Amino acid sequence: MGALWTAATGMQAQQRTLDVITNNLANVQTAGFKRSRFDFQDLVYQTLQAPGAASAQGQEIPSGFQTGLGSRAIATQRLFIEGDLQQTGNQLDLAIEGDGFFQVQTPSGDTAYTRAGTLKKNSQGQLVTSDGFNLEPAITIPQDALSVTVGVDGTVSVTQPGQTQPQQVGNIQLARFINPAGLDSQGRNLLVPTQASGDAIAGTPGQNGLGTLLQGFVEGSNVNVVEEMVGLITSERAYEINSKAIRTADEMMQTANNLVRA
Amino acid sequence: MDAAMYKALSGAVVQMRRLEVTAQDLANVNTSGYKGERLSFGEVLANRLPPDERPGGLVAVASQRTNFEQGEMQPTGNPFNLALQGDGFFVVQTSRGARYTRNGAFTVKADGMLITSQGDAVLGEDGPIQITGVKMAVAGDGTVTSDDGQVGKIKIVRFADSRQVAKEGANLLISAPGNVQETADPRVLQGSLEQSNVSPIDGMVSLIALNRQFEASQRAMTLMDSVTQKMLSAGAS
Repeated sequence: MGALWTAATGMQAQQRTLDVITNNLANVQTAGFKRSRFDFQDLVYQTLQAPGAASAQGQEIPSGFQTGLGSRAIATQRLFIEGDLQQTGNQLDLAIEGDGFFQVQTPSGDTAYTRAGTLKKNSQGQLVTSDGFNLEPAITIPQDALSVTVGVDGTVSVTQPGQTQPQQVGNIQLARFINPAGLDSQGRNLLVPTQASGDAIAGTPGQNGLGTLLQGFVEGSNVNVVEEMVGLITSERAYEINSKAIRTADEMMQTANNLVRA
Repeated sequence: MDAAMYKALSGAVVQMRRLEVTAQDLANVNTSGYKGERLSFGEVLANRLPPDERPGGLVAVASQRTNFEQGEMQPTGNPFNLALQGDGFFVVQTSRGARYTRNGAFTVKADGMLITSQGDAVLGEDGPIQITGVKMAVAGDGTVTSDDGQVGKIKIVRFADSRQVAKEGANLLISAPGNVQETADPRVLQGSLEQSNVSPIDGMVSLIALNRQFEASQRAMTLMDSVTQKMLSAGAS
């Protein structure tokens, strides 16, 4: 009764999809969040009779018999489509229009990457993420700065009291990857490079395929609630239908057991 | 033993086989590019009596065919997701040789090579496709371009005889090289995936029908058993 196990793999695969969809839905309001989707594969096949085998001298069987052993979830693919831009008016909120990530220094000294540009100032005036991680390269805003302006190319300038000309205090750099889907999620909106993503290619916003910066905006999550709900229904029904296959296999075994009367 | 008993048994065996195939299809109802299976049943002659006396033979699975009907298109927005409309298969280079797939859930390696989620290279007209530059776009005929210009053309093939194709798992199909042909008019859709062509409704109906037919075979066997029993007890009295 291989059908029992085949249907069980189908249920497991659908359960994984539910996990991914619920995570997407939980992050519908998370700035810079990118939704994921699951990719499935069929499992190996048992070939009972190969197509093209000879049934007699010179006679070929036109089609073979194969029994599959179910399905499995193989990969989560993160979708890097741009989320909606929301105007906040906060001068330290930055959104990336186009490709690229902000570079952030984690406490362990490694560089992580994020699309969430909700920056803050720490006690030393350095630009940090909501978790207090420094932007890389570090940019310090003078304590007496009246206003901060971030240009589309990442130039950060401030106006100080008694000065008419804005002072340039640093440049925000962005990084891009050949395969952003290969980045590893660390939680807290942070992604780290892997073998699959390739090395970060850092540069000035607006150059070499990098996106430009938009001050006073935040990139919202790219989760589409309607799409996720449809996905939720689809995988729930697929889960149910696989459980029906298990029940049918069970009933057939019961029927077979009734052959021999006690 | 009565031949009728074996006929009923052959009916039950066929239904169990049908269950395995249906369960496999239903397990892959959400697998991109998956193609369902179709079974057909036939009579196997079990004796050599003259035709007018022949009571009919055993039933067995006559053939199993993959249903290569088009699945529905699902937009994903991922530029590396490709779907094929109409006849055709992507060619994947595995360590075991060329394999074919309808699942276009591709991604790129760190060096820009277009690969499947298993890590095997997707073949173009001149070998693996190496994507350079940004803003990759795939035209309807499979031409891959980026801001560096044309970087390759995805190879799409078809099978001369779709029956000479076996499934290997991992969404891959295997076929003899002689059965593989060029396609005249491939249609590639970027940012979409072809869904599984398994119909859950057909699957559910199959489950109910095969369950009842299995039960009917079992009833027939039980009935024949009780007839034999009665005959034996009549002889004993």
